[in-house]
Amino acid sequence: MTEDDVRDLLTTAVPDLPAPADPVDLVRRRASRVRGTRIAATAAAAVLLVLGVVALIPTAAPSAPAAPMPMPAPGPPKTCFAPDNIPGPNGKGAPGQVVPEGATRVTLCTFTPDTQSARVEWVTTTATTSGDLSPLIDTLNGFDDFEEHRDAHPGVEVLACNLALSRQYQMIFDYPTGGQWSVQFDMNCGTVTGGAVIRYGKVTDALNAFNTRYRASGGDVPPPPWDW
Amino acid sequence: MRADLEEDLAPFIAARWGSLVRSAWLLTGDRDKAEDLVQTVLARLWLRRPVAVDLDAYARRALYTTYITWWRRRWRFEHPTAELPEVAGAADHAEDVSRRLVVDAGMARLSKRQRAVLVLRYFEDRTVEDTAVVLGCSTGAVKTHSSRALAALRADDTLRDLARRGGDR
Repeated sequence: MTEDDVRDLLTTAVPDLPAPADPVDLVRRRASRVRGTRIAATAAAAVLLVLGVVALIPTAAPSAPAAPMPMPAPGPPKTCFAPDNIPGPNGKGAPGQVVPEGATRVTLCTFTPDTQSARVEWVTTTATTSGDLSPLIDTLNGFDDFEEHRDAHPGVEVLACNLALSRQYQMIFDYPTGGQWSVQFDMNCGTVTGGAVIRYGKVTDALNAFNTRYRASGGDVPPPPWDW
Repeated sequence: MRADLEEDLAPFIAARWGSLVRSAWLLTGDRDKAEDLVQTVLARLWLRRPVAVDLDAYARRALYTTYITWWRRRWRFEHPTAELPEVAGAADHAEDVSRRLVVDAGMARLSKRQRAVLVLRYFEDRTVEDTAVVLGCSTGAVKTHSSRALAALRADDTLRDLARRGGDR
């Protein structure tokens, strides 16, 4: 199936969609309803304030179109931080990218458990590479968010975090701004977390992207091992 | 002031309604949802008209980002009704309906971002760069989503047959 086939499929699939008699009026009425809802909500909030009741209600404000995430500002240096062997964060998380674009260097921290006891001691190794990191960053940002993951796996409301004691990973990205960004991989649950953003998917794809970049920059694939 | 804004927006809405709804239909696969999505975006524009921006570009960006980031949550809470959600037009033929259902089923297997990228690239005929601007992501991310979406569609036997029949026409 060529790209032209896809173009043809999409173009011919759209049904005849006659416009309503007055679309402007529809929009005007919708705007009035939204405005009315906002006014009512404002009034209700004012009443609650008068009564001394302060409620924190999370709002999923759609507002302006999304923009690429800015590069991080300089801050305290980030280091490999061994996991605590409990399932990592899951759930919806914040919207946005899991890692900002424009990184020039990345370090992979690998945490290997050296015991099968309940108390795990982690052995940490690192590998660093630079150059074109966009395939790696795009792979990370291309993972599904919570709702996409749930849509793709109907009925899976709670992640099955069943790979405890497996090797765990972290990536630390360096930016021209002097800032850094850390992404934690949770191999138990199949998530990557950067800041408050959580993404789901085949996270070994990102590790493979790192491996590809590492080899391309002359790395001889030393430890950490690459059989994820 | 308000009248000036309405004077400015009304012709835009009248002119662009059909085009926005067609794109929204490919995103949602449903006429009612498509119209609701477009109304949501245009009502926002109506309430808070951005100054000195390209209206069409703004509305399209808002359409796609609203669809990806917010749209699905609203519809999860809609209640079913006894009415049919979509009524076939007089010009509908069995083959067209069948074709539509197959394409919609194939698109439904894609993630929201993949679906948005396909519609922008292959329905709206936008370049990778334009698509990245609309979705607020990198060109690399567009290529990744596009490649995965195309691979998913190519893996669909029914869609492949449909595309082959289309090519034979």
